[in-house]
Amino acid sequence: MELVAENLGVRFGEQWALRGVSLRLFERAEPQVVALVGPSGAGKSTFIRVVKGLLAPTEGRLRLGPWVLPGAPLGAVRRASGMIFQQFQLVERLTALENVLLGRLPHLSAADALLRRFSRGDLELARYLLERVGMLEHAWKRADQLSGGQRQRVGIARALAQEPALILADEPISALDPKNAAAVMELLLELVQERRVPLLITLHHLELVRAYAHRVVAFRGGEVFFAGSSSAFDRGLEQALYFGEGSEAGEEARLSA
Amino acid sequence: MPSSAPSASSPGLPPVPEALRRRKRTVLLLYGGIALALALSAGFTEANPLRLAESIGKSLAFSARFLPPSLDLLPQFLRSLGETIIMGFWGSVLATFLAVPLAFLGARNVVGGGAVYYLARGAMDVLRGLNELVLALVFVAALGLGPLPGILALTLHTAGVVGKLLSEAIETVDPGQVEAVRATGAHPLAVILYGIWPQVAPHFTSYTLYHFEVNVRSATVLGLVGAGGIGFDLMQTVRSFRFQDAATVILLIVAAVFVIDKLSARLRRALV
Repeated sequence: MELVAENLGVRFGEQWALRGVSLRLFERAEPQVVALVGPSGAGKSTFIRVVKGLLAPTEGRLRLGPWVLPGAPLGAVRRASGMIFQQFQLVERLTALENVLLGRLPHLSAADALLRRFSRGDLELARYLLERVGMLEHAWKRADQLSGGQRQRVGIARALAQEPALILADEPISALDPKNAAAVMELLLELVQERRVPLLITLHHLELVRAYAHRVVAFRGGEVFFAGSSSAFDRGLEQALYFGEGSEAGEEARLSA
Repeated sequence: MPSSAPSASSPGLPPVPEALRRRKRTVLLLYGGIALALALSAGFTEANPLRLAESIGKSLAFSARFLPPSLDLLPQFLRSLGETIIMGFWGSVLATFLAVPLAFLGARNVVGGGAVYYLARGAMDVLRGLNELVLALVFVAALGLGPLPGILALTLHTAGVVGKLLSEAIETVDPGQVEAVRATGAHPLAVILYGIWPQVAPHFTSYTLYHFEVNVRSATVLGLVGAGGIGFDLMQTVRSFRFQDAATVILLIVAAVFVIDKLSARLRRALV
């Protein structure tokens, strides 16, 4: 599903979190992994939230497949992409199974959703995904009884249960310890490949970016600093992105805003 | 107030800030004011300590006339007690049906801060502000004696109280969990059911059970204004000086409230 941003801008109060962003991603048929990198506050998460339909663009347009924001029905835009959150954001008092089934909600009629009438197919998909992320034995445990790594596994299953055309992952492993982070990352990459879903992921681990991403988009100060193949994103660019001229000043301005 | 404020000669301490001095002065004025008000009003209400002690003695002597409790009318009283409990029960259940929708409409994070929010909040404030005894007086006048006006009074008042508590619980849910459900593209009502409800369900159970206890206690009082139940028997027995029957009624009320409190507390612990 192609993702096109045209002069996209998002403003919070006086401060532009994103400005003049024009990008064309996932234009090829085969599912790709695109990594968003850049210092904290550079606009990566803001961009993801606009794609998700959780944040309205202040200016410019964003097209996701057939949907153009602003204007497209938000329910349809949100159904198109599955989201994996940094802080997992599972519904704590629901079981792991129920959390995965949340991904099926947008595919049910309102009446079926409110009466909890999930189809046999929904349950089979949820069971399969729980098994794939290694959580089948914990299906009936409430989310608040799971560890961080386990929660994110359920989070991945929930995003995939939505059968989305695109997966968005906002720093999915930065709340996990190194061992869990590696395992969860591996699982995520394996699953998007297996289910042939493109992945847009924000990451701070540049060695992972080089190993797994096909393309890299680097944000700095709310603007696109670099967009290209991951092999072209070399050490020099990395240095310039995080320590380069103006990056400190830009950061300070944003933090003090 | 030289005694309350440490003097400037306190070793090594910075001087007492003016704001702190003023606060101490205000507190002292408040207590002084209360003492003065008590002294001035004692003559007016005859609420002076001597009179109070005397009246306690009188009441104790009078209470002998309640003994021993009479069991002659026990079956009638038990029936009335049942009526009272049923009033509390129905009042609580009906109130729930009103309170849940009101609570969601009165939660800023569900409906935003618009007209709906203020209307729902306003309705709950009014219902909460109307004492159930006042409501019962009105409904007894409109509908006649019996448990129905009592049930209506309890329903409206409890809907306001539980609705308000529940709407505040809704406003403090973790927004991240709700956002995750919204992000799937689910229907807005499904977002409430799957994202918000699981977070407030324990509060809901707790408030509802607690108000069932409160309502059974209130229902006993509602009988005094003719809204049925055991309160009606209490009023009748006292008014006709049948104090030994009244004693039975009072003991029954105390026992019922005690048992229901214990049961409800246990149920809350098991569910929440």
